[in-house]
Amino acid sequence: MDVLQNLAMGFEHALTLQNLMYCAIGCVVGTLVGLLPGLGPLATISLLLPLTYSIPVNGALIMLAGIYYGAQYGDSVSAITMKIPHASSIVTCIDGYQLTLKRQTGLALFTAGISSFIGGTVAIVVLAWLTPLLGRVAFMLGPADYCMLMLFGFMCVSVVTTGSVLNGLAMCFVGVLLAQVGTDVQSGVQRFTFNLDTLYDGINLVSVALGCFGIAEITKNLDEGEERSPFNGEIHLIPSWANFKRIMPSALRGSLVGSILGVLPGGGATVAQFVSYAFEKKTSKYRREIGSGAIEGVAGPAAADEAAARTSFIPLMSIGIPENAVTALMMAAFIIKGVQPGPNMIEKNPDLFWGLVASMWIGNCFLLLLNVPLVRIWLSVFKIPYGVLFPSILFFCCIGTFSINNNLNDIFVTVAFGFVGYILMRLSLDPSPLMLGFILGPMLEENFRRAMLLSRGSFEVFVTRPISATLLALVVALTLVGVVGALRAGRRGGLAERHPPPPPDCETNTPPSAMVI
Amino acid sequence: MNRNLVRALLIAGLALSFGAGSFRYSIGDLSDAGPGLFPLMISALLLAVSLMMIARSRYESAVPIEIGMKRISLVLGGLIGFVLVSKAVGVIGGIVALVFVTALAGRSYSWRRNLQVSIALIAVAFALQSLLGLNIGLY
Amino acid sequence: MQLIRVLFALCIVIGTAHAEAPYPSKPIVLVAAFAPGGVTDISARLVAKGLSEELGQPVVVENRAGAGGAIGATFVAKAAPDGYTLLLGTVSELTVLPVVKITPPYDTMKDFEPIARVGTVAFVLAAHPSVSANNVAELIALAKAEPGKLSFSSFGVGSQNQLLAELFMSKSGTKLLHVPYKGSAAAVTDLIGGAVQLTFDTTTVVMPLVQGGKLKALAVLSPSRSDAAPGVPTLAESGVALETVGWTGVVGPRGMPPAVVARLNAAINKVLADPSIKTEFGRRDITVGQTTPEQFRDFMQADIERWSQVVKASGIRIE
Repeated sequence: MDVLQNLAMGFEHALTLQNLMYCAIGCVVGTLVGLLPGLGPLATISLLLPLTYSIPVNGALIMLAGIYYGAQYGDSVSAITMKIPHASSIVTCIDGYQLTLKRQTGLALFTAGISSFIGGTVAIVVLAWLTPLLGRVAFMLGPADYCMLMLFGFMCVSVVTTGSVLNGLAMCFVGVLLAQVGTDVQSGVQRFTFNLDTLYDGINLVSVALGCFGIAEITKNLDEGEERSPFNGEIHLIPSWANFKRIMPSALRGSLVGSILGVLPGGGATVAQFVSYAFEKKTSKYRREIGSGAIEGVAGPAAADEAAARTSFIPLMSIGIPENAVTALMMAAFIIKGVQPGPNMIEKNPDLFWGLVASMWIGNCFLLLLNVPLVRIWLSVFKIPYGVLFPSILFFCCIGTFSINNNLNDIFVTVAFGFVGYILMRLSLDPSPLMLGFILGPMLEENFRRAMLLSRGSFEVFVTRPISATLLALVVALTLVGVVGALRAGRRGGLAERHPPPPPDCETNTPPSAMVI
Repeated sequence: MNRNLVRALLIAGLALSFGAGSFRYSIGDLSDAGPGLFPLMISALLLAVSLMMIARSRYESAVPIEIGMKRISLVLGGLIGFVLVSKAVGVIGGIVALVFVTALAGRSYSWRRNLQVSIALIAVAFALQSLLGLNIGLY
Repeated sequence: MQLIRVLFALCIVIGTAHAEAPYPSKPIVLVAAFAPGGVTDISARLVAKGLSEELGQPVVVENRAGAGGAIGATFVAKAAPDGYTLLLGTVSELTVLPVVKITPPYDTMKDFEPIARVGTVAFVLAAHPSVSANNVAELIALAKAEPGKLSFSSFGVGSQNQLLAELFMSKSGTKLLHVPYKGSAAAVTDLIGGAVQLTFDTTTVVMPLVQGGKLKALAVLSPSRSDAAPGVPTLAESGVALETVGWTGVVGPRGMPPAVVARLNAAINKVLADPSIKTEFGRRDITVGQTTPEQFRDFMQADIERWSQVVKASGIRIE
């Protein structure tokens, strides 16, 4: 078959010693830099892009791809081990960190690694066979459809939050409002900025993530008197067969979700991890465990995110339009090397395209192999006593924030969110939905306004367009199910909540055990 | 104070502030949305949710609030100190300030350990600067 | 104690060493005020790559899109004028937006320092294949039959192609609906999908899609027919007296040291003269040329005056 032949050619190109070396370097460097809190895949790739200028085109692209995927993996490592997520690892952070608290860090990290591998493999299969077809999918969605997709993503709040749905919704809306701070992209008006220069461009996601998750978690650990003793246990990296059997179905489901959603420009890839998590919560055998440390909660979203990252190349390679900042960088790399992405790119440069596809898979393999030594090193970092570890993590948070704009003032924003995150934690409000709202809010607004503009103010458009109508129906159905479920649970007496034990310097008469419902 | 009530009130407060703030920008209508329309809509939804939370807190069992300000102040103070000292004398000084202040929030305090950590972090900062080209104003 | 003394000494040594660092001694940020994928972004990346080699320091492209280019432009205007934050500006945010907006966010000649012009590009009026008009005359007829039904995409509120569309509307007596986007890529995606029907965009972005059958070109907005768009009449030929040229150039915040400006200008001109870079630009119908900072300043000034007259004559103001 044609595709297999092409793949073979691609592998031939990718498996040269030089290209393998570039791939390896890219993966390692990407992972190491992505580990640093605050440096997400995009920042990493921007930092390391100049490294690729002097390398021949195939090698440069392979290295870039390696850096990107390495950074994504490093990102999930810091999410799982330190509860410091970035945009692509918010959901893996939830169950991943719970697994860390249960002393199963190695298992969580391995799950993330192998799920990424599965997600990437499935996506490459999709990429190889369906690129021309899927390229057209991107254009079938108009603003109204995107609006509904974002709303559908919001519905996933109900499953992403650990508290009650109402709390989750509140946090989600707060996140959306926080995202409004800054300059309105459509009119140029400054909203809620108090004329501060730092806020002119809005609040940065990194500040919110580091503050609400990282700093809050550190303070919580300190309040509890650093009971998290240094990690002395055995590092069980390879999971038992039973665990492995649990990972597989979740990872496959996640890959499917991610592959499809990744094609949609702009929002698809971000929503993928939330949708996968929600999917797992509804369909997995172990769904009751999800949220308190189930492997499925890590496997599904990790696979989805990786798959979405791969398939987000499709619009670039089939039509020539980059759909997010990372594919734009790839496009830039193409252009600099004299390759014109677009409808004819695959025909005119088959070795480049198939070589890239093949090396993406090789990068996947590399990451999996890197898992074993790197994770051991990383886990041994946690043997350091917490008293030494936490100032270091705080330092990395500062550097991470600083590196966004090379501006020390941004750290003040992170500090502010550290305070906010601490208050939220003490009030038992989960910040994950806040991140969800923060990320999806601007896309929801942009598409909502545009849909309204095009429909001249009529809400009909949401019902008349087929994709939008389907999503709307799903949203309504999920809401009804959620409401009915909540009422039933309420009648049974108790919406389950989890909250942290009180800090020692607080006066309280109630012993800790009475807090947990 | 009932924690559930406090948080519901906090959310309501946020909703009202953002909502009031959004009136300062032109609202427009649905077909020609101004910058204030969307924040207003979301604030309204948030207000509705917060009212439901207030109602729910009435028939839920009251939970007392515990917020210990000591350690969070130290952590945040350390970070602010990092920025201020870095602006004055450079990141090397900032790191020292950060480590010494935030370590106060830890269980035990040791000058020697703080110094060792500071030196290690300064070395890392150097590495980041030279290897990654991250421009950290060290001096 | 000993250790602290050593550290102190180290600080002083580093401090003095850094005090005399020549420009550039750290990475430079080149801001593109539009989303990835359009002429601005492509020009920025090509220039950045050449400049990195020329100056010996990485030049990183940052996309800060939104508000018709105002977000990115304001960011650079407020940055320190030390030569490490630059803008790859275009007509939209440098010469159209401050002129056409009722409350401009900045004054181009006062807030920016011209460094070098990069290239010029032609504009073309393109339509989705579902629009049943094959030339401008038919389009005008169609638009007049149903005012406000056809929509056009733009790079943002106050951008060059919004103004072009407004001028088109006033000269042809039609009414179209304006839909702003953050840049070419998103605007064109929706255009291909059919959500919007028309756009005034650069030949760089449009012509490959026309050749692929996804769009049809109705007219070019250059003084004479363009080689990039063979067989396509000019807008003037089709009865609407409107023409424009798009250009990009590198500017910095006002107050940059003249030595830095000169160095950057020389470097950019050298990059633009490089045959491989010229070919890459040429492949995208961007004509590059060398300018001195003074020439670029005069060029921008003339452009601003031209747009001011146009805006005054037509009475168009955008909030």
